Amino acid sequence: VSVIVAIADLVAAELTAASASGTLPETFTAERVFRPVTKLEDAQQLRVLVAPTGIERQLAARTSVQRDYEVQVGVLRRVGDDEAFTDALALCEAIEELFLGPSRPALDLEGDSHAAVIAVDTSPLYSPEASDQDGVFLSVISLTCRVVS
Amino acid sequence: MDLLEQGARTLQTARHEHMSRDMVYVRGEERITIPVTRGRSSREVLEEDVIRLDTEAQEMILRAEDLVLGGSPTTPTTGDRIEDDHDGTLHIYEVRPPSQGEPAWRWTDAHKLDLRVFVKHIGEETSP
Repeated sequence: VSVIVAIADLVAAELTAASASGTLPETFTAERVFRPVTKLEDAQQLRVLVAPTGIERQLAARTSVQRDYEVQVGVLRRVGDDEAFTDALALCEAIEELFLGPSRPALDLEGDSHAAVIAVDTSPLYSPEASDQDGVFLSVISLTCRVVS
Repeated sequence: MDLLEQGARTLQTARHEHMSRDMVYVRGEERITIPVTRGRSSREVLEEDVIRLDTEAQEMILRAEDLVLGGSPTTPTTGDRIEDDHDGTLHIYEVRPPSQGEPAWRWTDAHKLDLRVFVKHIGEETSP
């Protein structure tokens, strides 16, 4: 099993579980996807998409390699007013807190290894183009996960 | 009225009579049925990192004199909707600017007879 796909699956599962438990302020089922294309017509409801996007390897010592895996979480929803926009921003902040806050989940992989989220980046905060042209809140949260064996 | 304006009015009448069909223009709670001509359509893809948003853009042409809401002539505003009930399907469009910072409509001619309104297809449902 691909490690980065396994990490993306775990991130999607954690998001869905946090949504169901009320840790996140909205109810949704996160989807792990490879080609995250959404039609505007399908953005009426909140969509949370998780896609594997990159792997960075570098030498940590003479005989060991450090691997950082990047997955991106896309949050999309049509928004009609500032209140809905603010709610969507609050969801993104809650997702950041979920993965980098004090009670962040352990992403357990096969065997004894697990992935730890070491960085979260949401820049830009949202897409002004999607907001203006399509009335859609679109934000992409990048999670960098380091695998520790 | 000069010759060019006469020509523009003749073309407007022909478009109105032969190339338009009734659609519902919606702003908030207000709904009016007016004749509308479908103009150019295109697919647009907006990319933000790995996420892609696929939209259907459409131009709608309508007579300025038909757009009267609350008893007053008006011009389109972002967020207004146009509903096109056609072939058993209700297509719902929303007025949106074609690109960031641009207005959501413009005049089609120098005589300000017709409005070219930029809309995005936001959904469809079975005709009521």
